[in-house]
Amino acid sequence: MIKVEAINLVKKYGQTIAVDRATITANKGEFVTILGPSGCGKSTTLRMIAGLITPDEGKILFDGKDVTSIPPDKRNIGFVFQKVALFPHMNVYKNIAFGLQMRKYPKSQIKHRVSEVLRLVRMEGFEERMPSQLSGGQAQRVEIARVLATDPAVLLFDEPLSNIDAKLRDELKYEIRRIQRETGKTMIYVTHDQGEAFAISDKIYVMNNGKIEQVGTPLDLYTDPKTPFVASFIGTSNFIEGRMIGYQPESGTTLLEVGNIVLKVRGQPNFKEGSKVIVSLRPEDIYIIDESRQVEFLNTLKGKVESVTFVGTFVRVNIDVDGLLLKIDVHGDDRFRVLNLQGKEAQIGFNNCTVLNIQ
Amino acid sequence: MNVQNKEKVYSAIVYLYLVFVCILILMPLGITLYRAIFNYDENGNLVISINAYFTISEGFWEKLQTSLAIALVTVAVTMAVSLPVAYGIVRYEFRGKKLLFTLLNGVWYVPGVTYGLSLVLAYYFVYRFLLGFWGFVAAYSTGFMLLSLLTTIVAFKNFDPVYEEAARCLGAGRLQTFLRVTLPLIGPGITAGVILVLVLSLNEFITALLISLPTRVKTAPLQVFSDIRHAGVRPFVAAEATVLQLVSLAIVIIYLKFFGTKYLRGSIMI
Repeated sequence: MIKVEAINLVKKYGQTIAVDRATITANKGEFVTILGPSGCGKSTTLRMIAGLITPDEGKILFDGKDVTSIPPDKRNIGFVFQKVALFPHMNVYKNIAFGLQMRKYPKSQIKHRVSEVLRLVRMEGFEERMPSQLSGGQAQRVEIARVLATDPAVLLFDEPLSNIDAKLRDELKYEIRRIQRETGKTMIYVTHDQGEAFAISDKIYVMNNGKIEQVGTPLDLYTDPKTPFVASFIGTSNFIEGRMIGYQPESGTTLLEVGNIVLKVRGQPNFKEGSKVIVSLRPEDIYIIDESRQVEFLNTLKGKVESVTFVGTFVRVNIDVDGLLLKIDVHGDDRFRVLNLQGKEAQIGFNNCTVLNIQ
Repeated sequence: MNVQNKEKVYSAIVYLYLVFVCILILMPLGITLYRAIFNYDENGNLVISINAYFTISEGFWEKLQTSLAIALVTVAVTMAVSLPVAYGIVRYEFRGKKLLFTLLNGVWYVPGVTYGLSLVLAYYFVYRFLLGFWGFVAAYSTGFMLLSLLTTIVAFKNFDPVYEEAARCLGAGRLQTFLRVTLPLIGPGITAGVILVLVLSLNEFITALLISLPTRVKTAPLQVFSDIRHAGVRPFVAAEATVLQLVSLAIVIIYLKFFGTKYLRGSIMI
C-alpha cells in the first residue's frame, strides 16, 4: 500500500476546464471517495491518477515519487472501470492471468494466484467461463479479482457499480469495503451516489464543476457542509434564505431572520450582523412535537400540514410555517402517529441546522 | 386462411425468392463449370469429362502462382499500412480529418478503368524503380488500400478503447496491448478487409491488364482473357476460369476456418 497525492491537477478540453486545481490525498490503506454529479470531473481526476490522461498542470505522487509522466503500465495500479472491461476473447482464468503474465510470473505461481483472488471475491469454479457467460455482478467481481491479482499499490474504481441493479449494488459495495479491509490496500473510488460513498469511505472529496468543494469524513460532510452545493448534494435539505440579525452571548445563540420568523442557532457566527445566509435544515432533524416537548428544542414553530406521504422506512410530511414550506422526515414508530395529520395544525421543533454565509 | 397458414405462405414466398436470387448469382459459375466438363464428341454425343482440366494452357499454372503470390504480398502490405493509419484516424483528432475521409471515400466512385489508368500513370511517375513483381504489388496495394483501410477503420470504431486501457493498467505495454487485446478483438473487421483484398487482387483484371505493360508481369486472369481471345470459349478456357473461381472460394473457406473463426469466437462482434 502507498500514499497517493494528486496536487493541483488541471485538465482542459478546448475552452472547457474539466478539472480545476484539484488536490486529493489518499493515505496508506485509506479508502477515499471522490463524490460528485455527472460531468464534475471526478472520473477525469481518477484517470489522471491512473495515467490514462495526462494532466495539463499539477503532479501526481506515489509515496512521494513523481509519477505524472509515467505510463499506466509502469505505475502498478489496479483500475476497475464503469463498464465491465473483461477481455471478451479470454475466459475468466486468462483474464485474471493477463496482468501476471505481463509481469512475467511463472506459470505455477499464476495458477496459485488466480485461485487465491477468485476465492477472495467468492468466484471459485468460474475459471473456464467466458465473460459473456457471467452476470453483471459476477463480471464485476472477476474484474476486481483481475486487478487484485497483480497486487497493485493502489486500486482505483471508476463508478464500478453504476451499471448494476440496486440490490446487487448494495451487496457489492460492502464486498469492496470488505476486500479493502482484508487487503489493506489504498483505494480511490469515484461515484455520484452519496449512499455508496457514505457506506464505504474513510474520507470523501466532494467535487463540483471541476473543483473540490469540501473534504471530510461522511459524518463531517453530512453534519457540517461548508458550501450550499455540498449541503444540497449530500442528503436532502430544506434551504431557507435569511439574514443574521444578532448574537446573544449569554445563551451562545445566533439569531437569524427568515421571512417573518426568527430562528436560533447555537454558536457564534464568523460573519457580521446583516450578512445574507442560507440555512440548511435536514428533514430528519425536524420533529413534530406536542406541548410537553417544547423545552427540548431551541426553535419551536407552528404550521399547517400540507401533505403526508408514506415512503416505507419514513414518512415525508410537508408543512407550511408562515409561508415557509418545510419537508420533515418522520422515522420509527412516530411514522404511524403522523399519518392522519394532513390538513391539521402541528407544532414542530428543531435544534440542528447549518448556516452558510453567502455574502 | 388463418394466421398460421398465412405465415407459412409468406415464409415459402421469402424462401423461394432467396433461392431465385441465389440461382441468379451462382448460375454463371455453374454454366462455366458445365462448359468445362460437358462436351460433345465428333458424333455430336454429350460427353462428361474432366479432360479439359488436363489441357489447360501451360502458362496458366505458373500465372496462377504469380497471382497468388501477388495477392498474398498485397494483403500483407495493405494491412501493414492500414492498421496504423486506421488507428490514427480513429483515435486522434487532427485538422482536415473529414476532408481526408471524403477524398478516400471518393475513390470508390471513380470508374475502375480510369483508376486503373491512374495507377499506370502513377507507375510511370512513382513506382518506376519497382520492376516486375514488386511494381505489380505496389500498384495493387495502392488500388486496394482503401478497402482494407475502410474495413479496419470500421473495426477500430467498433472497438471499445476501455479494453486497451484495462490492459495498460494491468501492466501491458503498447505493443503487448495491441497484439494480445486490440488485434484479436478487431479480428472480424480485419478478416473482412483481408479476404476482400486477397480475392480482389487474385482476380483483378482491368488494372492488371493496364499494369502488365510496364511491369511485364502476367497474372492468371490475364491468361484466361488471352486464351479466350486466341482460342474462344473452349472447354480448357472454361476449366481455367473454374480453377480461378475454386481457388478464390478455397481461400475464403481456409481463411475463415483457420484465422477468421479464431478471432470471431468470443469476440465483441458476436
